Amino acid sequence: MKIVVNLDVVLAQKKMKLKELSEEIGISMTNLSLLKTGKARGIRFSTLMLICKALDCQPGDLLAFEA
Amino acid sequence: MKKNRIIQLSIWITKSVIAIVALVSLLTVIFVIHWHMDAAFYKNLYLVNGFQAGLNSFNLRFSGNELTNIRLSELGSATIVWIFIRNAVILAFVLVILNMIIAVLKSISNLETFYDQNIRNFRKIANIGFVLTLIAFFNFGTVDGVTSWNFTIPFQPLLFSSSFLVLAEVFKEGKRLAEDSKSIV
Repeated sequence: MKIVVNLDVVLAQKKMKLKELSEEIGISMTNLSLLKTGKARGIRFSTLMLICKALDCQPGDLLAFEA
Repeated sequence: MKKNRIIQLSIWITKSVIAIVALVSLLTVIFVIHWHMDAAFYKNLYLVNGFQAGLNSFNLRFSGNELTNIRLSELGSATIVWIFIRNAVILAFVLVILNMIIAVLKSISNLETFYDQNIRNFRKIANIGFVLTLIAFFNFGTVDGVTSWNFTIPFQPLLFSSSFLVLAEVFKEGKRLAEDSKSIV
């Protein structure tokens, strides 16, 4: 059971690269990579909000529950 | 980045204590060598309350109660050497502890607070404290062919060690929380 972050999927849909997202929302590539690869232990609401705003998506598009 | 004044002051104080301990160590060496050359020089110096156990067992005074205090000039060579070795070991351990404390303080000053090395240093300090506890547990000395043994429960080094063990665990928990916090994006 885990929460899966589909950042790479949403980035592909929006045709945006990780570096561009990093520059737009001001979060380092390192931290976004942690998120993308599922190594982050959590995500702040503020970060989620910035990502959703930049990618014009919903939190549910980014996060999924895997049983 | 602005340096933490309290940490800097603590480093300065610890370095000052190291200097004092080093000076005391040097004076102890000089005393032992000089005692062997001229023991009578110390006829007016008394070892207060005999051969006490504990860490602070080398109390000297220039006048004393002959019933409880011992003239240094009356001590045998073996006893002087034992006093020297015992105190030298204690002072050496104290110097090691103080140097480790400075290493930890410098690490904290560089914002490397919850690092493995600091946790290891605290555990080493605690272990040294337990060794000091064993040393402080007993003492003995011989005057006029009579050997007296003294034992005590050394609460000070025991509490000191326990405190540093707790500090090690606190820093270990702090490290875990810091790592958790770092991996929260």
